Amino acid sequence: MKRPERGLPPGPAVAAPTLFFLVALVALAPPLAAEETFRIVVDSVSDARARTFANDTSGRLTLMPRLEGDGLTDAKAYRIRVSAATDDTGHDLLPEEPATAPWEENPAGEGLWIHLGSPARAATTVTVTGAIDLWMPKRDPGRATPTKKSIVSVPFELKGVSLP
Amino acid sequence: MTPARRGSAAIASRPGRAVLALLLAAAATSTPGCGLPEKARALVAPRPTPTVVPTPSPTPVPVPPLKMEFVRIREDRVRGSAGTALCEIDIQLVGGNRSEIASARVLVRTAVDDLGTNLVLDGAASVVLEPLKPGDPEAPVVLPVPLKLAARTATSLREVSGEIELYVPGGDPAAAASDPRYLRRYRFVLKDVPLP
Repeated sequence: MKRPERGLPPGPAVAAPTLFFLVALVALAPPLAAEETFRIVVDSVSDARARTFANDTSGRLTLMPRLEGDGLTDAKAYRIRVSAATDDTGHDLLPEEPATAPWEENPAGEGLWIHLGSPARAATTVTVTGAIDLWMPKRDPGRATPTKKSIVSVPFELKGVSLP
Repeated sequence: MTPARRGSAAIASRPGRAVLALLLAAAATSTPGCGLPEKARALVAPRPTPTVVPTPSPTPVPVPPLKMEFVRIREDRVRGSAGTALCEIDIQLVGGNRSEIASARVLVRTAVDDLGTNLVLDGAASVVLEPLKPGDPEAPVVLPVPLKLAARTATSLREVSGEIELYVPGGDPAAAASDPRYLRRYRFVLKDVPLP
């Protein structure tokens, strides 16, 4: 199922209001110039589910986002930290022990994948909030690793991402 | 004609008849290679009748009973480039000896969810026998039953049924891959399987 998106490649992605919200936040973030914006696009989603003979259920929802936009030009690496995730039936999808978000140099790399718990079968959408960290080495040239000074954190909200 | 003339004519023709009779007798009793050419003899000789030897029909190996157990159902629901969508039910063949089973296939005849949607995959009837996935010889034999994905609004599978075919040559080195003697067929029926 495809959803119409402004300026996005074909395929389901973040709902338009979410994109607008995210872009606005990035533009207003003090460390970035107003013209430096980027967006997060989620056009690939995997919902793996299982039920055993004993009626035990398990599963995992994986959102596979990619970042795109001029605001990424000076960034060397990215990471996505999730603070909340729910489906539209109210199920909390945050893992009990969330893994530490790794730095990913590819704006569409596997390191940016968001791994969540299994949504309800009856759910149709999920909403995820968190922050995207951009490591911009030029802001702290003396350090070879990300520092508070060289990391730009941008809050995001992926609202109404439809489930497959 | 006077009786004397008739007598002399009869005497005169007797030697010719005798010679002709001798020639015919010789031809009739001639043995191969000493009389008529082979082709000519083949034309007059009776056709050989093939002897019908009854070919022993294949003796079907008795199919031992097999217990099957539902293990789990799993769905991979995907969108975009996240992989291939699938729904599979794993059925364990209780007591099935992995080392004896050369290949297997699952023929799904019926698969319907509680919304009435047909979940039989296209081409489900033409699935071929496939070797079992390699693994521990002592590990239980588990066969996946592939289906179409049910809608999220569906909650259960009303019925999934079909046949499981096992090719069990039993160590016969001469067994052809499709020898029906070694094909064991089992029917399976699953009802009201809750979806994950």
